[in-house]
Amino acid sequence: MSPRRLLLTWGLLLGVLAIEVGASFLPIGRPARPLLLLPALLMVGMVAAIFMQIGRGPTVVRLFAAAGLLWLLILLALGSLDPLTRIVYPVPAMERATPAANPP
Amino acid sequence: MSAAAGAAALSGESYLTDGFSLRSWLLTTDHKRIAILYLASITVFFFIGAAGAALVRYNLIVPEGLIKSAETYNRLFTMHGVVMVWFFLVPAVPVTLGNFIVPLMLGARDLAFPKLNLVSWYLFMLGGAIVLYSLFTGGVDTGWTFYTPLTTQYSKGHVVATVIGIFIAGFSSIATGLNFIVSIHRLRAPGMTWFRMPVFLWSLYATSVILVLATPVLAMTLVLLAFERIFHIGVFDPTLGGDPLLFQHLFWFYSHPAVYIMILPGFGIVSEIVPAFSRKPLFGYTFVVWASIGIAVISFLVWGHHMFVAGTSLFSALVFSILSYMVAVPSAIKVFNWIGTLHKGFIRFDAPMLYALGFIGLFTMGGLTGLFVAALAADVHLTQTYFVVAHFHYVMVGGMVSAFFAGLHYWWPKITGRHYPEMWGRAGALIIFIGFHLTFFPQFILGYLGMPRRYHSYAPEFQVLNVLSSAGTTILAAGYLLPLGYLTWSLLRGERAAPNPWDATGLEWQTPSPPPTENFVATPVVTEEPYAYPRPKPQATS
Ligand SMILES: [Cu+2]
Repeated sequence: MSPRRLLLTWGLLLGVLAIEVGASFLPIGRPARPLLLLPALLMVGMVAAIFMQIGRGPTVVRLFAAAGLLWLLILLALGSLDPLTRIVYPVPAMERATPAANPP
Repeated sequence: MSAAAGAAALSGESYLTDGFSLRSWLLTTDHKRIAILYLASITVFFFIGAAGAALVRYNLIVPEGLIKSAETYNRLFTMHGVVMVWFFLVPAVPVTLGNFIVPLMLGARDLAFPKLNLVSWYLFMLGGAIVLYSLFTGGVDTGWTFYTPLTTQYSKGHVVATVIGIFIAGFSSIATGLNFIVSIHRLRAPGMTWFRMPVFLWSLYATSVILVLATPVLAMTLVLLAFERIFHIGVFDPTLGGDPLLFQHLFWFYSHPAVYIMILPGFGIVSEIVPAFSRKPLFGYTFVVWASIGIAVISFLVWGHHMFVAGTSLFSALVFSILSYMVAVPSAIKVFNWIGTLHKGFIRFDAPMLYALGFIGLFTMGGLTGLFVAALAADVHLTQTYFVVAHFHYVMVGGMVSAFFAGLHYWWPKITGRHYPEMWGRAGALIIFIGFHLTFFPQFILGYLGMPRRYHSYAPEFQVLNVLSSAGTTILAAGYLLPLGYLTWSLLRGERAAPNPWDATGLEWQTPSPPPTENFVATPVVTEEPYAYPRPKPQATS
């Protein structure tokens, strides 16, 4: 693959990342939050198709890509076990602690 | 292999004599020279981290603390933790012994990506330089775990700089892991099937898989931490919509498997040494191999055991507790297989073997006490006490550092072409073993009695055990300085080593010591199983 194409893809990835970070500042309601995953999915697709060349590579490459997804699944599944079963105490909005600049 | 290179190898030319300029070292792509660069840097980091530990133990000689400032004490143990974990324990075996030995064991000319290998050293040094800079210009007081909200809101130290340094060093880990994975897939010598690979290769393969899959999670977590600290983006702060435990989940998703990044290569080293010094094939080779792979997978399923008292749900704590017991099974399989290998062997107690035997004992103690803290109810009592400190130092220092020294002594003749002085080597192994126990065994009792960790002062009734522990540190320090002395001495005065001084199997012993730049004069061909030591006849002498 030509270095130009690699750099271009990298630039695109950073662009999508900027959109993703920017979007997190938008006042999006709870039900629409999963939409914020779309840019991330786009990035995964670009990495898989262009950097990893999943379509053309040998089976081992696909296996490793699948392993990556499996590990992500482990992180999300076991990781959400706790928040889904935990007792959540509401946080009063005003009680945010003082930032590092002037500690209490 | 060209005829000229073959002739060079025969005439005693080696990778060490292939160019003497600074440039020939700093721009080398030879895995052996990069291993030496890494060995030198890792040694420096080890002694910086050890100095932090020494000062911590010095402080704890008296209950009110000899270092007057609690703030300074916090920065010292953070420095000790950060340097030791990311700049010694995680990289040490893969980047030094692994870098040097993996291509030789594979029968290859070099790793798959020699330039990437050099890049990984520069990334490691850059990350290390940033971390050292921030540690020496004020430091961080958060502990090596960087828990939020301390790091994001309250801590005044160089949190972001330290985190950036670790972030950069993480890429060095990923590059090394990738290099090993591809090398093991692609560069095995003719005849070396997967199940003819020595266990050291298998364990580094498992380690590399963890490095590649877990390190990115750490990198992302540290970036999120920096983002929240600098830009107040709500990731971990509940008042901004974040989850207060998310940091710990993500951090330990990396850091528990990281424990196995540290210890799996040690398993590999011991699996080489025990057969070689018992003159027997490794007992249950396939089990040992699959145990390595099993550990690599299961290690990702247990991270929640670090958060039993952090406010996670009881249900998830129970699940993580049960899963944590599971990871003990493959580790125990390995210990039993090493003991099975020793059984009725012709055992020689050379220095590498003494270190390896020390490893087996100390790791077993570290592993078994791990079961105590994996038990939910016991952990509520023991967590945040010195019991935990003792537990992981038995695994990390007693286990990993012993294994590192075992491997260093075992392959020293191969790496340098010189023998270390055997009596000094044995003395060093014994002194480290004794010093280690004296330092850390009292901490089990202290923790059980309830002495909390990470405090700069303690209740007066804990003083006797603390003084014992600090006294042990001086013996341990002597034990670590000793190899530094005699190994350096041996570089100049040590006896010249033959290609295979231990009469061991493994392709790395079939080339001169030190090896020529090209590694092998002719590509070796593997025709037999690993560890094909002649089986001893048990009744022959009686
Ligand atoms: Cu753990």
